[in-house]
Amino acid sequence: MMTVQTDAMTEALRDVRDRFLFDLDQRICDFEHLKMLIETGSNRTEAIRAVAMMAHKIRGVAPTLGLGRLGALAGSVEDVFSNAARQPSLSDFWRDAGPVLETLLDEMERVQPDYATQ
Amino acid sequence: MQNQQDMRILAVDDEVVFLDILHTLFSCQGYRHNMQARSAEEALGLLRQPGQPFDCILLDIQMPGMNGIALCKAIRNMPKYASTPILMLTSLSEQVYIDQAFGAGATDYITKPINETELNARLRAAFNAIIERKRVEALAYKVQTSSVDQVGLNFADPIALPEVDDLMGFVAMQNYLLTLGGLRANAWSAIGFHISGAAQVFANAHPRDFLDMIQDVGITIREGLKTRTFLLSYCGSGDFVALIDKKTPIDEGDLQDQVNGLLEPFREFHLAASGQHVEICVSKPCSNGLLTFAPPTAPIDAALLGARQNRALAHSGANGPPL
Repeated sequence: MMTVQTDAMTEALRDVRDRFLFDLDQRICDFEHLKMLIETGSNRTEAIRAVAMMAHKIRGVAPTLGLGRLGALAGSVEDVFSNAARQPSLSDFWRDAGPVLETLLDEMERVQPDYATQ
Repeated sequence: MQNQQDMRILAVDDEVVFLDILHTLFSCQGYRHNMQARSAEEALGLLRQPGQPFDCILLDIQMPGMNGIALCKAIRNMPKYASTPILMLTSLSEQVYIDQAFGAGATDYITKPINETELNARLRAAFNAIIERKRVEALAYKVQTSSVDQVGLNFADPIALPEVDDLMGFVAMQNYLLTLGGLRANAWSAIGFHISGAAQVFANAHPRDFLDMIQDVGITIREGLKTRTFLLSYCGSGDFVALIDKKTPIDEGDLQDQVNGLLEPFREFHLAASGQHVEICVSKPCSNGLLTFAPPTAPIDAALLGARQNRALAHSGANGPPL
């Protein structure tokens, strides 16, 4: 998948990137909420599906905005969560999926600008 | 429409950031007429509006509610969008989605993340397909309505065949194999069907009779393949090509006998219209080897060549030494 783009395009996408980064807080909150649902057993299947879908969306946009690592980690989350049904038990699933999701959440926090200092 | 930037484009995606990216790409590349929808329902509302239709449609697959594949099917059921280029724009690269997308009538498939160069190239291809389609549709209209045979139809034109069900566009078939890529495309074999005598029918018969003959052959080929999983396309020049699921072995000799047998009831009409007897020549199944650098579309070319060579060999056998 090619993500190389001209400098002019990168510059043109700067505003889109800034808005995406600004909105990451909400996406992080949404992921945390879904993580809680999975861990407590509330609407677990729907929560797993929602995590996969949210990761799918990030996977499709992050690399174009110069956030290749974020896109790749989102892809890993989507792949793991999309295959949840193949795991024999929730604990087996969460043993693998939990750390993958945490890595994505860490990266989402890492790429966010520190608005307090701007 | 003077150039691709004049196309009216509708992009459908539930991810606002992706729509923002597309809008930025379009603005930078000079595309002036593009609209967006965040759901299939919103898109259908826009598509149903009277007035100038969209020239090109970009669809995400994974969306809440109606997904992009169901939306593609719904769009294809709208007469004014029966042939409009529909490009799937999605992160999904598994074959099941590719198969479903092209089966629903998509003409191209682009995997996210996108870049400006690739998107521009695919839109250029869509624009070229629109121009070609309009030219061929104009010819088809003339064929149906004209009382004289000077309609400017070229023998090589892949003219639309409305009476042949589920015919795939030749460009769409090629895009399908290119999207699948080497290994996955190898699940299909290509078989060529050449209409021996088609050039003579074209030269001697009224264009309407030529079109009827081509459609008769297309219907016959579909009937001959109906027990198999296949995709069929008319390429122009009296040639069809089918992609056959490799899981079902096929004997081209038996298939050739079968389709020519099915064509028998139509022969007297073809003979009366043109003074020419037509026959269908079938190629061997063609596919790339596993270790090959040939493009995924190479079997199509090989199949078409094979069918034409089969015709040449058949004629040489009747008339003398090999050509």
